[in-house]
Parts: sequence; C-alpha cells; structure tokens
Amino acid sequence: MIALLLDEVSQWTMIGRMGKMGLTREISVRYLKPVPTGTEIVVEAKIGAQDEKNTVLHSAVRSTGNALLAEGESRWMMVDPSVIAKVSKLSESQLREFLAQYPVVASP
Amino acid sequence: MDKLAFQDESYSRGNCCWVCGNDNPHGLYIKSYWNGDESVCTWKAEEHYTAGWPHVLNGGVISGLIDCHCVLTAFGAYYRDKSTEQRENPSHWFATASLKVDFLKPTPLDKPVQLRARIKDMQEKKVLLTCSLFSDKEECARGEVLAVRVPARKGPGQQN
Repeated sequence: MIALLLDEVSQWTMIGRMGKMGLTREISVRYLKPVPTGTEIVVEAKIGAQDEKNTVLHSAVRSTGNALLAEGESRWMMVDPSVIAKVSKLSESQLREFLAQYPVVASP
Repeated sequence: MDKLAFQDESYSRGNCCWVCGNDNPHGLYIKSYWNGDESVCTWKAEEHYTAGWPHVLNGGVISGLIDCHCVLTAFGAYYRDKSTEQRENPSHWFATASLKVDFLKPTPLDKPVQLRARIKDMQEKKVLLTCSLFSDKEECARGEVLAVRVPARKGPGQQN
C-alpha cells in the first residue's frame, strides 16, 4: 500500500507539474518506520533528474508531525499520449484533453 | 508443492496485512507455497485493480504482491525447520526493510499472475529475496525485497 501511494503521488506530480504522463520503469522503497493506520499521513513527491524520455521522482511518506516514515525513488519512462492510447482503451484525444487541464509549472 | 500456504500456518495467525493476511476482512488473501527451493503464488486480480487504463494491473498492487510473497517466504524459511511449539508460538515475524521493483511490461488484468520467489541470502536477522511476476509465462515484473526479523506482535489470534 505504501509503494502504491508513492507511485501514485509521483505520477500525479508529473501530471500536475509537467503536464505529462509516464510509465513506471522501476520503484525502490525504504521502509523506515511503521506507518500507522487510522491516522492522516502526508505523501509527497519531487521531480528529480530528467531528460526527454526519462524522469526520476523522489517521494516520501511523512507523519503530520513531519517524521519521515518511508522514502521512495522511481524512474519513469515519459511517453506520448499516442503510446498510452495504444496500450489502453482510451483515445489519444481523450488523453490529450485530460493532460491539457494541467499546464506545465516551472520548477522552483 | 506443500499443501499448507505460509499464510495458513500457525505462525501467521493474527496477520492483518491487506495483501497477505488472513485476518483483514478486505484483504487480497494471496497464498504462497514452497515448490522445491522456490515459493510460488497464483493470484487473480479483481476487475477494478486497474492501472491508469482499464485492462492493466496496477503497479502498486504488483509491488504489494511481490513484497508480501517475499516476506511470507522469509517467514516460511525461518519456521521451516522449527518445532510445532515454536510455530504455534512464534517469537518473530518479518517486516520489509526495502523493496525494489522493475516493471518490465504491462501485466494483463484478465489473467492470473504467478509469483515465484527465491532466497538470495539468509542471515540471522535478515533475508534477501528475489521475485518475478509472470502472466502466461511472460515475466512482467521483477523485484528484490530485504526482509528483517522483528519480535512477533501479538495478533488477535494469539493469546500470549
């Protein structure tokens, strides 16, 4: 479940910040402390190294008190919506319309 | 192949894990067995365990399957030669210290997946395992898990 959260938040960080979707090539997770159920947690991701075809995301699960509970690093293959359309049942125009909702935000 | 899954052994009693525990009412209930030196698990996803598109298994679920199949394999290895008494009253469980997954190709959602894990290195307090996830004999993901031994937590099925 923790790996799933880190993966999802990383994908949405790319969508939100870069206006692009990727496919997870690899994810590594270090479990540092138990993550309690029934409590709110913070899942965050930050864009790291990137080139035209690849992006690295650094992610973390923290308590609301900012204690680091787990950290992840994932490598993504950046793909054109036409490629995703080929492996999915979605149309390319649907995907482009979806991504257009997320204008590219410059990295701080 | 052994008849009793690691998850159904007495040492796993009280396991509430969403992926591998028998005591989570909403769990995925994977079952892992020895097959020689390998541990194997066959599991079929429900239709809604999708990735971003409809017919591909979610990568987070794949990570969970690899993680839990490996950790339960570490349990199985640790308790394999232990006495009935020790299996009934487990002193230790295993927890994931780290997990790495390579996604090699999309995993179809409409077919069962098979997990096959092996112990790469077993020391007193930690076990390193490798695991591959197959669909129709095609390797779709490959992972490595470091499981560490921790004191057994007393679950709902354990009285002591």
